[in-house]
Amino acid sequence: MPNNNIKHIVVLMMENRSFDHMLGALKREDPRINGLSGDESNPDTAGAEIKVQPRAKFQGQLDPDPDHHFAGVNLQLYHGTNGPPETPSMKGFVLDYFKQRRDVKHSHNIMYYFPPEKLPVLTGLARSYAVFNGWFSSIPGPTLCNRAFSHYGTSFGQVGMDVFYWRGPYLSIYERMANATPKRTAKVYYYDEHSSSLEVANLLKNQPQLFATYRQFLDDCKRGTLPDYSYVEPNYSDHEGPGGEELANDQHPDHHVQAGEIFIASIYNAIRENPDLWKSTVLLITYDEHGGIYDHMPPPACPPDGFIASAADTGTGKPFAFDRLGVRVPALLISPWVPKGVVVPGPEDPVNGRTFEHASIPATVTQYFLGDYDNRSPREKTASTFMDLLSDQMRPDEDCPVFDFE
Amino acid sequence: MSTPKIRVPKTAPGAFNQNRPMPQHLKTQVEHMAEALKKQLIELDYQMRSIETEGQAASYIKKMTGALRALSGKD
Repeated sequence: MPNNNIKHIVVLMMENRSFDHMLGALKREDPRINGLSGDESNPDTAGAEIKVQPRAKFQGQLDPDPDHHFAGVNLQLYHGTNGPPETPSMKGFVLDYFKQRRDVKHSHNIMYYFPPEKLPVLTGLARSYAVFNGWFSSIPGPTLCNRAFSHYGTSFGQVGMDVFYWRGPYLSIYERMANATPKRTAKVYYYDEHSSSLEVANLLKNQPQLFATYRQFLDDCKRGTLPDYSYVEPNYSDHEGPGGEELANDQHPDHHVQAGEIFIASIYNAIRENPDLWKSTVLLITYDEHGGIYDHMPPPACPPDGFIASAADTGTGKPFAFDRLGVRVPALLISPWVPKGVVVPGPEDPVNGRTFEHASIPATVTQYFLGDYDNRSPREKTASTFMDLLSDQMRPDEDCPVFDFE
Repeated sequence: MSTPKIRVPKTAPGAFNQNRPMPQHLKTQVEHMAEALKKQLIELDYQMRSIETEGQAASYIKKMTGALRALSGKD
């Protein structure tokens, strides 16, 4: 039975970090978390096996931006194999990163991960609420096609960064909500006018009422006027705003990871500090894709999406039927209705494991607020939903942390 | 029992860098927005050619005034 106390679903989608890079170290304190043992490795171009190491830095280590286009990710996943449909080896991350700077030592940085104490916000939330072992990006490719799955449940056949336009027949989750009877409310909160919305410029042009800023999000949380569904975008660039320097907080390499930690904490606190909102809201935090950074978990196959990307578009010499997922990303489900320390098993558990991807977002929001809704992509219709992870017991206030900013 | 607090450190000074080369996703965002505006301008040009009445002209002018104000950034 769904938890009927929930009136608001909030999704925050960050940028370009893999599960193991951000949360993999938690396995040492909780073996249920499918993170790193410390023995995972990739070969480098000099023939050495490079193990994962807890040496990730907040900034300056992943410059140039690691490759995460379809062909590059294909190498990261399938080095040493004959390619799909074989199981990915996850052995080509170092080799692919080497190509960008042709510096053997620098290519090892792609294997580095954060020790938990360096990410007190993300790991604090993972310990306090639910962490997904099996949330994957929707496509083994870059930002736009992956974010499209979170808005539309499909990328309409796109695997790249081409200018993206809706071409039907499926509506975005925001339009579905606005067209519903009774009417439902939804908003995309982008950071500010300088950062704006990353992908849905066509929606911004045609339906500006669906958009607001991060400042408005904070105000809506305070006043208790959040819509039924909110999608929050981080700040994608360092820029001067009306109040001075605005630091990019999307965590996209080479943006400062701590700025993203502060942003995540501010979104959580804004909900947490309004008691009525807190008890009626579920917050999902995830990342659009892995950004070329190492993860040990091979992405599984999935039902095809009804679209085919051509061999020219994939850059691999082979077409792609959207029948397998991209690299695993961090995902956390947060609410006082989520029991403490839940680990949602993924494909590592053949009996109880569940697989989630970004199509799970519109699938869950549609199922929860709109019920039966047929005009959706095959991927969205078969995607796992997450509202069943809420219990019917609300945790006491003193069991749910708050963030205290330095 | 009091609510547990998790300390969030400040970002180190010197992280801000407006001169960092534009990453691919920002380049695409810029192109996407330019494309969306270009389509809108073509649409506005088409609408202008079909204006025949004062009412239609007034409605068009209102739309353009709003767009010009927004583009000037001095609302």
